[in-house]
Parts: sequence; structure tokens; C-alpha cells
Amino acid sequence: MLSHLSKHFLLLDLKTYYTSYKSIIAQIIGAFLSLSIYYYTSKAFGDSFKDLGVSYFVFVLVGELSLYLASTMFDFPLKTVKQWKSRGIFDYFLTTKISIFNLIVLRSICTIPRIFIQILLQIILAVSFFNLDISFTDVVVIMIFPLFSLPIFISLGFVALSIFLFTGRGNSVLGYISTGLSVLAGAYFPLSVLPGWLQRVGISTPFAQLLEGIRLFIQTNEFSHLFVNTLSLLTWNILGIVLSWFLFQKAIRFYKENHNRYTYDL
Amino acid sequence: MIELKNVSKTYKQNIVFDQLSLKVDKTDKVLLTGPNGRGKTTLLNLLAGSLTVDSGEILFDDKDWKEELGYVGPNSSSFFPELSGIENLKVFGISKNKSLKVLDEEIKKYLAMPEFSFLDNKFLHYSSGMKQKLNFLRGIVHCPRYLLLDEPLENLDESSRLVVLDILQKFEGLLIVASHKKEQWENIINRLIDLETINA
Repeated sequence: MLSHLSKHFLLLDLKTYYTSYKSIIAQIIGAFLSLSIYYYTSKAFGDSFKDLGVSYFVFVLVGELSLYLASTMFDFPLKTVKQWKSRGIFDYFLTTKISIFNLIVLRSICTIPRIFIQILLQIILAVSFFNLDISFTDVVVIMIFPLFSLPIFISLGFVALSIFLFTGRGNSVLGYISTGLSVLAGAYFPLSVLPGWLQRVGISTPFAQLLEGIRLFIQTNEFSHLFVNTLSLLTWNILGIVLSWFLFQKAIRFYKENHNRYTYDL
Repeated sequence: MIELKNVSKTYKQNIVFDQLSLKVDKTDKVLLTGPNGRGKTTLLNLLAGSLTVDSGEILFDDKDWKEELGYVGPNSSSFFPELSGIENLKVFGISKNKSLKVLDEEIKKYLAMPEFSFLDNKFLHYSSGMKQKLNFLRGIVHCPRYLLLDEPLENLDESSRLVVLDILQKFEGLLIVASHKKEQWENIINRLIDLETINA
């Protein structure tokens, strides 16, 4: 059943995001513009990055691409439910045999092929127009290693979704958590520039664990860095699944009891 | 069979049901009537599982009732606009745990009827009547044993109305339909529940 449903959700995802040739061209232009900003910022201020052994362009691009899957998974459950709710689909899915939790997880997972397409597009543009020097193995690691952290980021997305179901609000919470985690992960600058206590907080977050593993691998080509960070991410995954499952069951029960009494911010 | 035992439901200060008890047999065809705000849609939502009771309980004679329940709700726009009618029916049918083979056969059967020939097109381009017809099909495409309908004939032209009534006439399971228009249902129903008197 779930495999048939995933086929339709995959189709839905591609039809939603690639509606026409114009939308595909717009996405290519968008990717090109963001790469241009990183590239010329790197040219202007890149000297301070020489100690790290990579240019600022490579540093920030690897950071963004490595976190792309994670941040999409984090946003997706809430975005999906808001969209489903505004169309009335969410309430209908509450009446179906397959649980709403499984449906949202499946819908989120079905975005992975599109995310891979987006990552590959950025890499192809960066190699073709901005002299990015990256090996095939690095590209594979950037795409595959984040899959190990999928449960924790979907779980965090379910936590944000649960807050939405309890309160009717959620966008601002999602924004705060997402920005905070990106800063603490060192996506745009090395964590070493932060105060000591904030570095310790940052390095323990799953975003930072994921990013550190990939960056160290790209710098050293040693798989051992990935294994160490995989263990840490697996622990986060278990914690995340338990917390989000518990919270989401409570949130759904609350929603079913009360949703006709509240207005939800869609 | 569906049984409600002392069911209560309140919206803020508004008591919709207070200790409502009711039994519907497996072959009953029930017309649910009552003025606006007496809880027809709320009762269907409680039975369908999208709302929960404040107190009391709702019992089904089948433990897999969610699989066996068809629901035609009041919102005929609750579909994926990017997908065709057929694709939408498959998504919602699979989520009811029905096999693709069964769904394909059922969809093929309806697709052969002129009233449902639009199912190949994207939902985005549907008229209100087409949306309502798809909404009706979503409720029956997985061959349910319990069927809950909330004003299913709204926005339908005469020929579509007759086709829907014909399908419902052949339906052998438990049927509960909420409607203000009693005369439309005379040939189908065998029981009337007026929420104004039962829930007074």
C-alpha cells in the first residue's frame, strides 16, 4: 500500500514544484544568482578563510548543500499540513485507515528525489560557471550522508507541527528554531568564531554533527569522520522519534477534540 | 452496526449533543435531518473519526471500521489540485487500505459512465459539479460497508443526480445521509432521524 502511495506522492511533489518550463528556468536562474552571491563574496572577503584550506565559496556551498535535505525535512511536515488543512485534505485524512503520522512521513520522504535534483543542479552550475573543484565521492557524500539524519529532522518538523496543532500558530516558532540551528551549525561561518559556551552548544546539535562530518570528509577524504558523526546522529534520531511520536499523538488528540473551536493560522 | 452511547459534544458554550444514544443497524438507510446548527455535520464527523467526543463512546461492529467507512463530506474541494481525478481517487483509496487492483476496477467502472468521463483531467480545472461528483466517488470507490454522506447532491445537474441516487439505491451497507431535502431521498431511506427531536 505504502509503495503505491509513495508513487503518487512522488508524482504530486514533482507536479507541484515543476509546474512548467518557466518554473524550471526560474529555479535555474535562482540557483545561479545565489551561487553568484557566494562566489563574489568569497572573492571579496575570502582571505580570512585561507587557514581552513578551502575558499569561502566552497565552505558556504558545502554547508548549504549538506543542510538542504535536513532543513527541507524540518520545514516540510508543518508546510504540508498547513497546505492540506487549507484545502480540507488534512481533516479527510483523519478518517482514513493509514495514520496521518505515516502519511506525513511518507509525503516528506517523497521530496527526496526533488531535493537531490536541486543539489545536483547547484553543483553542476557551480562546476560549470564558478570553477568549483569537487570530486565525485564528495558529491555522493553530500547527497547520501544527510539521509542518516533524516529521522531527527523529520522529528523536529513534527515537533513544530505539534506546536501548530496545539496553538494554531507555528511559522514563527519554525523560523526561530531553523535560524538558530543554522547559526549554531556553522553553515555560513566556522563555529570557532562563536563564544566558547556557544561553540559547545552548537557542536552538539544535529545540524552541526551532520555538517562537521561532511566538511571533515571533504578536507581529509577519511571516512572515519563520517562514522563518528553517524553514531551521534543515530542517537539524535532515536531521541527525536520518541519525542515527536509522543508529542504528535497528544497534538492529534487535542486537534480532534478542539479543531472546530479554533482558528488556525494558515 | 454503529452504536452511540451517551455521546456529548460541545463547541465553546454551544452544547451540540448531550448524552445522545443511538443505534443504527447494518442495513439501515438513515436520513439525518434537523435545522442548521443541530449537529448533522458534527455527527458525521464524529462517526468518520475526524472529531472526537467530549464524553461517551461510538462503537462499530467491525474493528477495521476505518477501512470500511466511506465519507462524503461537505468540502468538495478537499483534493490535490495538481493531480487528476483518477490519481486523487487512488491516493485517497489507498489511504483507506484498498488494493490498487480493486481501485483500478472500480475507477474503470465509473469512468465508463458519461457523468464521470472528466476524471482524466486535472482537479484544478473542475467545475463545482465535477468536484462534488469526485467527492462522491471518493466516498464509495473503496467499496465501503458504512457510508456517510453530507448533502451529496449539492451542485449536481439532473442526470448526475439520478446516477448518484441509482448508485446509492444499489448500496447494500449501512447508509447515513444528512440532508434538508427529504423528498429527494424517499426511494432510498428506510429510517428518519430528526436531530431536533432526538437531541432535544
